[in-house]
Amino acid sequence: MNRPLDTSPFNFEEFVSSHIQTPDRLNVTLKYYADVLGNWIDADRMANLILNRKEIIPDNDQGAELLSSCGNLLAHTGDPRCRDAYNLALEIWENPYQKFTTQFRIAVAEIKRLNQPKAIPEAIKKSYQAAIEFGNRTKNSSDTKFSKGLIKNLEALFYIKSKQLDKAGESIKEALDLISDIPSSNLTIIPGISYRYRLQILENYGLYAGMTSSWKDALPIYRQALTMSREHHPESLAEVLAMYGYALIQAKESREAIEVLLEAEELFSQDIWIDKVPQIHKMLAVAYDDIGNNERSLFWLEKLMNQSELTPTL
Amino acid sequence: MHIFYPFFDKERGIMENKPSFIEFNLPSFSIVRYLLNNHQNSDKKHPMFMSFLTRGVTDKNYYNASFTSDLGLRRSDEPTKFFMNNSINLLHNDEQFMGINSTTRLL
Repeated sequence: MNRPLDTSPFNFEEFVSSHIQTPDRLNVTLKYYADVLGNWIDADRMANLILNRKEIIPDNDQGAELLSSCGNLLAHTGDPRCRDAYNLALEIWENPYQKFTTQFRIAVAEIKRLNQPKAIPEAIKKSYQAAIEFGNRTKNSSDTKFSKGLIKNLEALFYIKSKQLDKAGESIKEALDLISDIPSSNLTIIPGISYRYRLQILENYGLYAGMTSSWKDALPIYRQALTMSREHHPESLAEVLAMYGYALIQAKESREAIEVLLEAEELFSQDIWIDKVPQIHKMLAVAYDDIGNNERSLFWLEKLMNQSELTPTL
Repeated sequence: MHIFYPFFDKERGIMENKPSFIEFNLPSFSIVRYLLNNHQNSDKKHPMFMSFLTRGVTDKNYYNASFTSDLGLRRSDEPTKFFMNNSINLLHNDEQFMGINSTTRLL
C-alpha cells in the first residue's frame, strides 16, 4: 500500500513558537537543515521566524548561538536581517571569542554581501576594537594578534573588490605575518578553527601570488598549506590538494599535478562534495594532455562526460 | 537536549548515538527516520550516506566548519543534491513511496 502523501506546507511558525524557549533545539534543527539536508529554503524560513521572535529568545549562550547561526545563514544571501541577528547575539554573548567573532562576521557580511560601502569602515574599526577586547578579556595578547590577522585577511578581500591590488597584497602579507608565529596552543580559539583560518589565509595568499606574480611563486605557499593540512586539519586536505594541483598545472608542472589531483579525486569521491569531483576530472584530463598522455587524458574526459549523465551517487 | 539513543551503524559495524531531534515532527526528518530505519543495507546509495545522516551528532568538529559556523562557508548545492539524489535512489523502488520524485513533499 502506498504511503499517504501530504503536499500541504508544513507549519514552521508553530514549530518555532513551540521551541523558542529551547534555542539549542532550534539551533541543532537549523544546522541539520542547512548542513545535512541542504534545505536552504526551509532553513531561511526558520531563521526569519526565529528573528520575528527575537525579543523572547532566552538571554543565554544557547540563545546567542542560535542568533549567530541565523546571522551566518542569512548573511549568505545578503539578507540585511543578518545585522539584527548578529547585533542581538553580540549583546548576549559573554564568551570573549564569540564576542569577537560575531563582530568580525558583521564586517565579513558588510564586505562580502551587504553592498553598503559606507558601512564597511565602521564594521572594520569595530572588529579591531573587538580583537583588542578579546585579548584583554582572555589576558592573552596572542588572541588579539591572531584576530587582527583575520581582519587583515578580510581587508585584503575588500581591497581586491575595490580594485586596489597592491594594497590587497600588503594586507594579506600582513595577515600572514600576524598569524604565522603564534602556535595554536597559545590561542583561546580552538585549533580546529584556528587552523582552518590559517589555511584560508595561505590559500588566499597563494591565489594572490599566482594571479599577480607567477604561479611558480605560488607553489611554495601551497606546499606550506599542504603540510599544515596533513598535520593539523585533514578536513581541508582535499580542497588544498585541488588548489595546489591547479597551481601546478598553471606553473607547467603537470606530472606533479597529476599525483596531487589523483589524491584529491579519491578524497572528494569519498565525501559529499560531488560537484568538486568533475572539476578534478577536468584538471586531470588537462594535466595528462600536457604531458602527452592522450590515453589517460581521454579516460578522464570520458569520466567527466559520464559524470554529468549519471546521478551523483554512483 | 543532549539525549541520544543507540543506533547500529551497519556500514561501519559499530553502535552509534542517534540524535533525539530526528524525532521532531518536521517534513524532511520523517524521510531521514524512514531511511535510517529501512534502508541501512541498500547498495543503491553513496557509501557515506547513512553516516552523513547522523553527521554532526557524533563528530563534534563537524559544525565548526559548517554553513552555519563562524567560518561562513558559501552556500552550495552539494548537500542538497547529495541528500536528494541518495534519497530518491533509495525510495523510488520502495513500494511505500511509489511515485515519489524530487518535487514531492512528505509529511
